[in-house]
Amino acid sequence: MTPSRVLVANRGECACRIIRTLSALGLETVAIHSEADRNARFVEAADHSREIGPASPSHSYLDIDRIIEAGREVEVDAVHPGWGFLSESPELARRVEQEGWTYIGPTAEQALQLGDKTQARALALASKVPCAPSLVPPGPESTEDPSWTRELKGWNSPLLIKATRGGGGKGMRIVRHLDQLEESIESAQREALAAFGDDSVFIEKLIEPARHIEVQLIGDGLGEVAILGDRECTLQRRHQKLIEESPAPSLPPRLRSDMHEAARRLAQSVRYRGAGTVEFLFDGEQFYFLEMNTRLQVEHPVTEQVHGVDIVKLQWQVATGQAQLAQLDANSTNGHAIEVRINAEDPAADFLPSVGTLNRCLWPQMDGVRIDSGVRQGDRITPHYDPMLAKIIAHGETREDATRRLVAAIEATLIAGVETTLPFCRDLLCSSDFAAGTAHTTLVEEKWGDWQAPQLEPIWLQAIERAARQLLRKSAGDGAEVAGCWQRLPGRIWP
Amino acid sequence: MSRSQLDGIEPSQPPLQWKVIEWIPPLLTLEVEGVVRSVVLSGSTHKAQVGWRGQSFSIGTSRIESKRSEPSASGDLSAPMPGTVIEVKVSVGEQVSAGQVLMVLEAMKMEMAIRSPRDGSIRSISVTRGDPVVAGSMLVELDPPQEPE
Repeated sequence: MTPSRVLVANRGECACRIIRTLSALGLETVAIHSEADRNARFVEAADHSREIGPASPSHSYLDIDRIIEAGREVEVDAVHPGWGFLSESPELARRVEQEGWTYIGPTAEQALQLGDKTQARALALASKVPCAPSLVPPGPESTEDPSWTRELKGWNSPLLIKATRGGGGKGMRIVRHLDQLEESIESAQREALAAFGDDSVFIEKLIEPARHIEVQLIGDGLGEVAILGDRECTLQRRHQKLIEESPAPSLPPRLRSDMHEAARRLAQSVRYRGAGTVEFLFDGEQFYFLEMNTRLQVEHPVTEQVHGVDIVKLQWQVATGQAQLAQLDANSTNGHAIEVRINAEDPAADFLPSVGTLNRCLWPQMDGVRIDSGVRQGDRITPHYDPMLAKIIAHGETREDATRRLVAAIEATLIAGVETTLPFCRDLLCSSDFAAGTAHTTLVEEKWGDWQAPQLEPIWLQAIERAARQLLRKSAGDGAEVAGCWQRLPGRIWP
Repeated sequence: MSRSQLDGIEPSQPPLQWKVIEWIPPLLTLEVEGVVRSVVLSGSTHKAQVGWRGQSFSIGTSRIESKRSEPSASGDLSAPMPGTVIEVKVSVGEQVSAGQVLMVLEAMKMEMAIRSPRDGSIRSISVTRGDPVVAGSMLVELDPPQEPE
């Protein structure tokens, strides 16, 4: 029997996004949440909810026992893991299938193989997918013997430490001097343990300067793998993506198709089931396998806009054996889409987390603009979780068109109460660095470190304040203060 | 409503030339001194928020303020962000050098190393592992380095 009640093992914008499609498919949705998220938007959006623990993720969103228990209580028959948290946990997949429920994702075996970055590399090499050199550091008992670093020196290149079970930049460190290696490994291990419950890390030759380009795919678990184009996610800061787009701009057609086919081979080699992303670094000539993410990604909406698909719906169809993937592949792409992530971070102060109450949260309604938000006005933004509040996605005929729409949408957005990355990303989108489409992954750190928010001149603040006195009501409204009758007021009201 | 700010333009200055081009709440397009810009405006006359290029400003009746607080002076060993202390690497009396990691904070799943701004010795440590901190919480007090006798 087709499942009908789906537990969404996630929170925030991710849970909101998944609930939206599942509800549209006529399914009942179940939110699980921590104490801190009791009044969150995603809990309200779901048909049912269960509080499963305190704010700390390891006792709530990462606690498989509590999640399974909640699923039994509410009698769910399927689980969607979202992204982050347990989305790449083979254990969650295994436990869900043990309950006889449908897991909307890869098999536990696939999650284990591809989620373990050293195993994934081996699979990639076996599928003739190009990889950069790599090494697993020895355990703490053998670090006294420094000979293992000899090979690293031989690469003659900066290094990148990565969490074996990592994702989203967590547990990742760049090492430019070998004397920082030990401290970096320790700190990466700690961060990996906190974020993924596993502290193993490995070291790779750092490919730089490079562009980050990834291929979206979906497999039916029987050997059919459809490619849903590529995305450029080069604009990052400390491995956190800021702006993503589809398709990747100015890529030689031959290279693009090689990349797509490499991704397809890797997924087919394990008869991959579900949505996945194969990430590559492109150094201008060659591309190198970075990792495969066995889950939905934050930036999936740009692919959805360009390909006219709903990836969460496709995930559901694959999970319930209804997918017709062969037809998907032939889909032609339509235009260009760009996404900006809105994080509660202060871009003028080294992107430190910003917490507070969202006393204003107003989104534009514009053609070709999609808002995926996990928050609403009045929400408290706490330091417990990932800082992403929402995403704005703009779709246009060309890259320039999409950029123009996205900038217009950002400028018509009002988020007050916490600092966000929005003004920074707006300036980045308006820059020649972005327009050229040839940025590399460390460009933001190198060139944009001193960014300061542009200031409105005093005369503008005065004019806005005077306009506000005329246009706004005396008591606080709720967003739509006044009807449109104020349009085209006579000018020059002074004195 | 105080008018101090609004009337703050000196008589010698020319009056502010501005007009509303369009108001489709919450989008406001103004022309000021010949320049046209759009902003987002929401709130009441007593307290409104303005969105401009992705950032927000509060405007009140008497003064205009940006909500951004002043960054703390460098060398201040207070918490730069709210979070949790996950490791304290030094103890009271210990000699430390500039750049040395004193403790590690974590917030929103990201780690941040708190480094010593200069050479010195640890006079006091105000937190222990596991303590939650808010931005500005005192973490460590540093004494100047002890001069060799």
